[in-house]
Amino acid sequence: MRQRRSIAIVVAVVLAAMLVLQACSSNNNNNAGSESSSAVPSASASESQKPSESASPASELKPYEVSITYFGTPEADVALVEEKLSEFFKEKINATIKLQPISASDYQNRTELMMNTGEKMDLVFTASWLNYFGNVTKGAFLELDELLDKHGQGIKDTIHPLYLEAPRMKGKLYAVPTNKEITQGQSFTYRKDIVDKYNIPIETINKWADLEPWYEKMSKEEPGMLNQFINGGSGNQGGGIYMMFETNSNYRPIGPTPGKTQMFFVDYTSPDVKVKTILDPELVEINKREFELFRKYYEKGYINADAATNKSDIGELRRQGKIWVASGVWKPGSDIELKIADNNQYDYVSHVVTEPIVTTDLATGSMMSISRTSEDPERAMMVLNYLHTDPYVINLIVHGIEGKHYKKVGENRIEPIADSGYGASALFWVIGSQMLNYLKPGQPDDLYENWKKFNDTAVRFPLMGFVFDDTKVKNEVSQLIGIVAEYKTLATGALANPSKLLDERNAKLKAAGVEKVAAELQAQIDAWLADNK
Amino acid sequence: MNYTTSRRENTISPFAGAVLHISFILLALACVLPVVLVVIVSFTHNDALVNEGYRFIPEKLSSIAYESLFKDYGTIVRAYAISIGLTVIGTAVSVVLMALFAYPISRRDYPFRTFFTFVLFFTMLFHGGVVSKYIVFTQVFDLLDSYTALLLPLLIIPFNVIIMRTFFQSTIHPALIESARIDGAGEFRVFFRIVLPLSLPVLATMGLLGMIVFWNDWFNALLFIRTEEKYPLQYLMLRVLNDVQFLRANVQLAAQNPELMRNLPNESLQMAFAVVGMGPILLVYPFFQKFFIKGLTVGAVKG
Amino acid sequence: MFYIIVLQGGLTYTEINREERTHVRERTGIALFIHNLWKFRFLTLMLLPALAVLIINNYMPMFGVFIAFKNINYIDGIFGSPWVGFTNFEFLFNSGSIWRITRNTVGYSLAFMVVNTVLSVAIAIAINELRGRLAKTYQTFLIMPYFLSMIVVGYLAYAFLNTDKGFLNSTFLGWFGIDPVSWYSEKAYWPYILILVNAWKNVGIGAVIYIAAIAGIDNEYYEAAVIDGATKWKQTVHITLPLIQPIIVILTILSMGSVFNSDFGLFYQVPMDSGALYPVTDTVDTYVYRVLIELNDIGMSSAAALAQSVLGFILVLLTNSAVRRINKEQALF
Repeated sequence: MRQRRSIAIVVAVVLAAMLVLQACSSNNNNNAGSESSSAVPSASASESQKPSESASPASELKPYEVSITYFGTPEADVALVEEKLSEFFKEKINATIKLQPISASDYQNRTELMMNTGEKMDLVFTASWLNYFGNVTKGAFLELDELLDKHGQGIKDTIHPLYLEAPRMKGKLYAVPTNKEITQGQSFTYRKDIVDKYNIPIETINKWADLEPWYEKMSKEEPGMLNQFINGGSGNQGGGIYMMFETNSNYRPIGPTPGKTQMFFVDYTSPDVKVKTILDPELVEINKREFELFRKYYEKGYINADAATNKSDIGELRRQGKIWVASGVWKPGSDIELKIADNNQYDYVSHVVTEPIVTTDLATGSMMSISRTSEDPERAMMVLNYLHTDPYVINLIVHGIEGKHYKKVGENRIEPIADSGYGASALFWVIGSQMLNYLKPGQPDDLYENWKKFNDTAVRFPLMGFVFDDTKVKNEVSQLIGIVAEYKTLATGALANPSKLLDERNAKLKAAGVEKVAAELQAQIDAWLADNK
Repeated sequence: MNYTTSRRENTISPFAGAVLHISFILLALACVLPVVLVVIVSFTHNDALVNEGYRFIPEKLSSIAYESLFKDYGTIVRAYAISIGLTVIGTAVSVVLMALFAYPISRRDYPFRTFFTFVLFFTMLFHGGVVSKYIVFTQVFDLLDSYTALLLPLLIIPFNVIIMRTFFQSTIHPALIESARIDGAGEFRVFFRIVLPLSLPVLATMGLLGMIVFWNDWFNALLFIRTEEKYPLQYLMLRVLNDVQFLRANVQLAAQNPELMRNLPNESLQMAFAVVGMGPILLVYPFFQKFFIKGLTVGAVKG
Repeated sequence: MFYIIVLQGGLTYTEINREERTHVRERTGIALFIHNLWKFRFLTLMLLPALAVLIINNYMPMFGVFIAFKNINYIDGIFGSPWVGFTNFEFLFNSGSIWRITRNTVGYSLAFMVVNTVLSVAIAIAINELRGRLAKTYQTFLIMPYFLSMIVVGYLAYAFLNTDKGFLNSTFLGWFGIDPVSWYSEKAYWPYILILVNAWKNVGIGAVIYIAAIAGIDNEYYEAAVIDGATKWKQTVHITLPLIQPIIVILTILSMGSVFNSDFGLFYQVPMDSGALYPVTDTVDTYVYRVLIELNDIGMSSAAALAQSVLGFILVLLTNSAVRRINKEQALF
């Protein structure tokens, strides 16, 4: 039949063409593959020929354009800043800079597209929540240890050692974190004026249950305020920081978090590193208790009635003065940051309820890596080194051009100029060393000292540096994601009978293989511990 | 004897007419009121939105959303120009190319008809995916950051081509073509002088559908455009909305860096973005419709 | 001027149109192919530009289909990465949810097809009857919902169905004395809600095609019918519907190809991604999205897309064959 013949012809031609293409290209790619795997050795080979590379004047280096791909909304004056940066770097290392800001929702898609198609990139922003470890496994980034030794001395001198431990995969370093606060504690943050008015002993409130008497009081005395705001309509976790396990035990999450729900835990204080799943009776009990508590709060009206579907940001309500307490993350200066974020309307005060621990996730929350497709990784590392050590450079990229985008009002202080074409996009946490950023209005003078102290006293999570490889259990994890997503509104208090639903969910999780994943996790942890004694 | 009944005498009964009109009024309201609501919300003060939700008569009005949007006047105008340019050129080229493809495959005497129809249809279902398209466009053809990359993917929409083919098949009688060929007309002449004028309804329809596709497209801009100045309007508008969604879904990230949430557009502003993005095409359509309806009445083939 | 194409022993154009009758030496295979290629060179020339676009845009990237069978890493790239057979398909087909998401996807697709076609055709016929400026205005308004992005539609639906501030709960139901319903937790209503929203968005624009089709119908048919004393209804059933049947049939066959696909925006944004509703709102596309946004595996997402395409393709072939048997002209190919 003519119809079948046409179909057959088309399909056959297409398949044939693809197979031919495949065969040709795999030959080319094998060559390319072996080339790229020898990229680093050849870089260091050329290194040995020029022992004084790092001290050589710019004239010895060939011109090169270093592109910086980072997480931020493109602003109007990016080109101007780029020009100034290029001026600076041309003089120092004969390099020009290309800034490539990519906005939040596009970032992962676009960078992974560029990685998949082998597009040239140099410095690339990455993070644990941008699938950093997955991309390392797939070969997106270059190993940095040698490059750091050659050109990154400034980084090594200034950055906290744990920062260089966390982004390692099988012992090798693939990214350099931004120098800022290395961890965060979880806290309850209060409106200072309310605390003073009612003499609330915030030091004694350490978990959600402790808030109950105060919720009751507020619902009578301050009816215009909302006690607990939950926006379950956004994000898989049901929105917000719940700290359910952290405030009631020493268990901290590790491994995969299907649907952004904590599912596997270890006791971070115990020398024995044993994985417990969310099905463990002790954890189930905590889980049920907290869910029932939230349900009680919901029924009493302490939690907003549309908790399950609300999508707004708590900031909007906070700015209207309706929020007096909220859970959050804490680092030195976060209360002031919050005040600034709310246009300086209210003062805030926090009580930290969980000890700040340095986990892999937190320490790898913002990093710069060098792409495998970079044509001059050494130059890229040099630029990165400057970003970590030179205040002029880092402030140029974060705040813009002095006089045009901000006013200098002190030795280390500035005042941003609103609507100036640059500086509105928050870049301080994205790149280089935040400790070198000029201080903005409201930030205390000793902010960075406090951070250094904070970093030094942070507790190291016993499994920091460990990363889970989910290849063997991808199917189980995808099942777990599916199940969790269906029950995510449990955490909002909006569903009646949470304990029963919790049992239902846990039964499904069990059937989907959560224990198999746990076993795999434990095996990998044991192996890692053995290697890293 | 042959007398033609004017259409006017073949109208529906007043009762049926009334029923239809009422039904349509209700339907039209159901369709237009939500759009009106979106516009109203874009003019509502965000505090009122947070407190009482969407209302047709809001508590507090404010044009702050549009003020902040149009502060960056230059960007918006430029993006509009780009979008309009892409849409006009794209639609024109698209309609011509699609018609040129649809016509041969509609001719029953064309032996390669089935083959090419299948070639066309296969692409509706099977795709190589975004990555491979990107590789072909940027590495084989060097189209990165070019407007061609925005036009090319949307020029041929198989669905529309097949509809055109069906139109050609059912409304152009083969005898018409045959007699033209006998009279000495070449294929191209037959196409341009006879077939096209008779197909104005379908061409107008495809033009309209094509316009909508080009105007609304933001995905190709996401993939291929790198220079901020080259972005079409819809992409810029949707980027804002998508960023909001992203940050809301990544609660941890937002909590660690509250500054990220500070400059986020609130809901009122988001609606303003939506209005700016879709406004033009809604305004253009009525004008288009005039030509389109006129084309409809010309469409009949006299046996 | 008599312009007859005479090729070595070939037929004149008019004679070719006469089915089956040929006096020529039979040509077969390659010879026939070349003969036809030359004979119809102008027609072939016409479709070349569009064909070029199809090749560049669709056929050259077609190699990406292989991604579904590979485990891609950046070093080896698409062509060099290792083959893994059908591993990437496992997460979808072995998933506990496969029955549910398939049922939802297919069920909704079919429901949408039926509801939207009936409504679009009805609207098209009615608009043609009404004529005049009013009809044009109606048509303009009916198309408007199509232009709203699904994110905005989601917000609008939320304004309607919101538990405490939504229009339904706070105003409308109150008129009838019905208690507020927690819409985003009750799954029973959602099939209807989704069908309604989908129809609202797409019926207006769908009618445009049918309106154009009806406009192309020769007025004389109707005139003859009036003379015979046919009522409006009879005219519709016996003239209008049969004459737009080709279009309806083609659109149906084409839609069969996307039965295993769903409108992601509709099923993700409108129900506000509410977990309690998943049993009735989770489709193949939303499921795959949710899993792959965490697992980040291009091979798996490619596999899911390929599975949907192949299944849709088979359906189209089946439907097309069925239509061919009934009426050869109206089939797709």
